Order: sequence, then structure tokens, then C-alpha cells
Amino acid sequence: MVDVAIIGAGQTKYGNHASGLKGMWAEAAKNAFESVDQNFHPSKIDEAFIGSVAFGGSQLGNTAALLTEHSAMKGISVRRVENACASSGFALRDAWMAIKSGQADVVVAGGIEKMNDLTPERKRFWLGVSGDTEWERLAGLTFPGTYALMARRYFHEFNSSHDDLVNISVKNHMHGFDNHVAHLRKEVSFEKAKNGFMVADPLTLYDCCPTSDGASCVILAADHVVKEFTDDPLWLLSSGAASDNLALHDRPSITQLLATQKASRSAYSMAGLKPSDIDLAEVHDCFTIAELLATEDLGFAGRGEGGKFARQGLGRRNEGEVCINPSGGLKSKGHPLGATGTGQAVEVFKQLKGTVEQSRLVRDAEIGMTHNVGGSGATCAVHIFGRERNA
Amino acid sequence: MLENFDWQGYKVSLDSETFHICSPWQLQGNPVFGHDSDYTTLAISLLSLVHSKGFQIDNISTNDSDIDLEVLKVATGIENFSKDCDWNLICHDFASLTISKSKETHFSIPNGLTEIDSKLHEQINLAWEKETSLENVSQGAYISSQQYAESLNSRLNLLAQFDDKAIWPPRQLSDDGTVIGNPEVKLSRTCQIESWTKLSALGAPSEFSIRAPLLDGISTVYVSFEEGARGVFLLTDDQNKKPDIGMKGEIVIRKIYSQEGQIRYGTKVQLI
Repeated sequence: MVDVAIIGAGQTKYGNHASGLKGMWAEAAKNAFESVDQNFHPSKIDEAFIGSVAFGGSQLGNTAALLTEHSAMKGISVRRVENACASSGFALRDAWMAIKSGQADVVVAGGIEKMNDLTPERKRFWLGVSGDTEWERLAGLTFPGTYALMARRYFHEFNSSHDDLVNISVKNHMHGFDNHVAHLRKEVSFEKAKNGFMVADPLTLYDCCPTSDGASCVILAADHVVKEFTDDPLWLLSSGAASDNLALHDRPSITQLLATQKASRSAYSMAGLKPSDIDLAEVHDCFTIAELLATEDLGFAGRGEGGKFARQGLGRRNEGEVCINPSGGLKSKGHPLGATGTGQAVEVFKQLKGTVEQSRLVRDAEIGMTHNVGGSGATCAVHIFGRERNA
Repeated sequence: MLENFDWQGYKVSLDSETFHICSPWQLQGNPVFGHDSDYTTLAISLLSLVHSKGFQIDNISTNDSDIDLEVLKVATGIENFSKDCDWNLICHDFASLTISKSKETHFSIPNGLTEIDSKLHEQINLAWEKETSLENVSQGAYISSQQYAESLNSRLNLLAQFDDKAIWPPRQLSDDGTVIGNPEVKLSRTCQIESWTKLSALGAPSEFSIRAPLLDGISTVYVSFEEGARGVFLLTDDQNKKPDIGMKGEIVIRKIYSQEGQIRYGTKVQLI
């Protein structure tokens, strides 16, 4: 079966953008086009998948048609992919499948979200549309509350406390400090993060990612056309995806995400790799507890050992066995919902090709992973990338 | 002989075939509703007590047009609310009501009511008024009347399906693709707190955006029932109480929020 490579990747800075959807997407697409080593022209793209929640309701329908029309991709098959915060993780999977199926040779996967042009009240509405509306939301839950329930339960079941989450926050802010596309480029002290404003007890402001504007875009190519564009591709070794019950109360446990476990098992198996082979992972830390759980669900730490993993700094860049969130993660880099998944892929692309800021380069990295979660774990897409075609 | 006790967060007194219920809150000597109670929630609570005492009430007349009879019907099973019934539901002026076979009743304000913060009480009432106004376009999750009605019986009565184990809230198809039977098993109304959080007004859903700032946020608990089902609920009357994992709670019916002029009732947890 055909192998798939990433030949280009680009994004906007995450944060507050003056430009709207069309401008942001065009910037990300242009950056991706320009990152391809040679011979690239947008007319070579066969198909495009664009992840977006369509936050705020602006251009809820036909999002992809509008965006591609304004980015030199007019006329090809396009669609918007929606799986909450995992929208572009699934767009990436759809693009990978389009090439794997033999239907396309060059495919764009991307994502976009415009979140900061709404009133606070409208923003809270849209932040809650991906949870279980009928039962969870009427019990007062938005995602800060959902993840707070997970965190408190985790502390109760295992040897862990809020301090472990503080360590994650401090690490991710440290990682994101030198990332010029990060939303929050500032380091925070342990004390400041520990004593932040309480958003959803026990989660403080420093446990929560920001709401960001942003767009991201990656270009995938089939193995038989890769050489036309680059001599140094990044191979997309595997794609795993899964879903789970939408509501917490329908799951057997709230201290693990079964969708992550299932998606990562599939990705590891397809790539013929194990957790210890991963050099860096962009992990979906919408809340610090989400990163803690992910380190366990992805196999970097044993069950109940995620707190210890964070406490010992095992996810720090060039210190631990695997660098968790070299970009700063959602916590520091930012979280423009639909753009996050392919934004993670942009980071892995640049890290493994050595084109990120040298101050934050993960040394000797060969294998990277992206982990993109929708909502509180109802959907999850995991991808593994490698410098070598057959890892 | 008069019997007084607390029931589902309210004060009740029983005297032969006459039953009184009253809000536990007072202002200047008179009972007033708490933050999420009204005559409908009082009536549902008292009727559940009357039924638990073995009295079968199939029809009841009421003098209060503010009671949501559709909700009362679903929550209590009473179908007939015509004028001439065996039983009477009499709403009093101050956050209290009586159920009796007699149309003439005497109600005395019970002892032990807790003084409520007058300013907060006024603000909450104004907030409900604003929220319930048809002019208020909620930025909250849209749950249509049909969707609300579809799950109301299971929501208010904790009615679960049974497929090897209790399933609540209700589901459609089982894992092997067959239709799961109708909800017929009533979960116990006591539960155990498995986790909890208090959301600041900043983190609360926009449905609660008018009231949450006044209440300094809202508290939610994740609970388990002895039948095996789990659920998430808002806490009620928790001004002076803090939840903890392992604590017991009681499921009670209260106002949740308002949409398109209709108050949406549901279940909340009262810490025991």
C-alpha cells in the first residue's frame, strides 16, 4: 500500500488575530506552500480537508469551500471536518486515508478557528457545544468543570495532587517561551501557577489553555510523487483514531481516556513502534490534567504514575525520555480548536526537520507523535511521524 | 398529632390527612423560596412524601396557576387536576403549601427557618425574572421542548433501563444493536459523591450566566447510585456546605434554568 509523507507545513501565530477566517487560512496555507522544498504549486493539490468547529457560527456551512476558494485551491473536492477540538486531527487522518486509498496524490489537511471576536457570553456558549448538552451541560458543566471532576477523582484514586498539574503548567510555559507562534509566551513560576485564579476547583487559570485564533495547514503526498517536491520528507507512519461515550457518567472510569488508549494502540501497532520509541509528543493538554492522563494513556507512564512523571520532569525538553509538548502545548502555544490537530503536526514536522528555533529544538529526535482529543475524550486521533520511511 | 421533619431540603409537617411543606428559608419572619425552588418543586416534593406514606392520590385540585402541571404530572403520576377532586393542593402566600382533603386548612410557619441574605434573595429573584422573560434570548445550549420532554420522566423520576445492569440516563440501542427496553427501574434517590467541582462564574455555562455571578459560581457533583448508574448534577442549597468524595447526597427536584419563557426543571443533589 502507498506510504504517505508530509512535504510541507505552516501555520499562523496563535493568539488574537485582527484578520478573519479567510485571512488567517490564507496565511497558514501560504506558509505551508512555501515550506515545500521544490516544484510545488497549489494546482497540484487533489483534495482538502479542513477541521473547524466553526466557533461563533461564522460560516458554519461550506467553510472549506470558502477557505479554499481564497487560497488557490478552488475547484477541488473539499470538506469541513468537525470532531470538536480534534477536528483537524481527524482532517489529517482523512487526508492520509485519501492518499492511502489511491484516490489522491497530494492532499491538504488543515484547521482553523476564530474565537476571540465574540462577547464572553457567546464564547462560553460555543465552548460548551461539544459536550453532552442534555445532561452534563444542564448539570452546570463546561469543559473546565468536566476536567476538574476528572482531576479531583484522579487525586483521590492515586498518589497525586494539584502540585503535579502545576509542574505540567510550568513545563509547558517554559517550552512555549521561545516558540514565536505561541499564544502565551511567558514563563510562570510554580508559586504563581499554583495560586492562580480558581476557574473550576481544583483547576486554576494556569491549568487551562487559552482560547486562541489560529490556522494551520499541512501538505501530504503519496510516496510515488514525493521526490518531485523534496528529498527530505517526513513520513506519516501511522494514524489511529477512536471514540468513546460523550458523557463522563457513561464511561467506566473518569481517570483515563479510553479513546486515547485505543487510538494510540492502533497507531503504535501500525507503525511497529512502542511508547519508548517516541522522542517527542504533541499532547492534547487543553487542561493540565489532560496531559497527565495522556502520559498514561499513551503509555509513557504506567497507570497512576502520571503524577510522578510530571513531578520528576520526565517530559521536559532534552531532559526526560520523551519531550512532551515541545511547542508549549495547548497551554502555552494556544488552542484554536479546529486548528490544533494539524498545528501539532506542524510542530512535529519542524522539530523532526530541525527547522524550529534552535533554542527549543529537541535534540536527535527521529520519531514524533501527535495526540488530538475532542471534548472530554469522546474522540481522539493519534499520529506517528518518522524521519525514516519504515521505522 | 403533628409530626415535623426535614424532607428533600424542605420543612414538612403531617397532621392526619393534612400535609404541609415550607421552604427552609425566611426573610423578616416569612418563608421565602431558596435560589432554585418554587411552588412546583414544593408540590412535587410533598406529593412524593404523601405517596411514600401510602396515600394514593390520583387527582388533585390546585388554586395556583403558577404550578407547572405538566411537570407535576410527569414527576408524580397524577393525571387529573380538575376543580373537584378528592384532594386539594393549596398554595399559601409565603413559599409553602398544603395538601389535604379539606379545602380549609390552617398552616403555621414552622420553627427553625434560616434567614436568607435579603439582597442576594432579591437579586436571584430578579435574575430568574429576567431569565424567564421571553425577551431574554439565552446564549445557552439549545434544548428544544421536545428534547426536554423526551427525557423528563427519566430525569425527574430517575427512571433507568435495565439490560443486565441499570442504565441511566436512558440509551437507545445496546452494544449488540438491539433496542433497550423502556425505563422502568427507579434508581434510589440517595447517591454517593465520587467527584465534585465548583465552577467560577467565568467557567459556568452561559445558561447560568445571570445567576452564577450572584452565587459566586455553581457546584457540580459526579455521583454513583447503588444500582451502578452514575450521573452529574448541580448541588442545591450548598451555601454553607462543601462536598467531599464519599459523602452521601439526596436527589431532589429543583429549577435548573429557563429557556424561551419556560422553566426547565430537573434533578439536583442535596448533601446529606
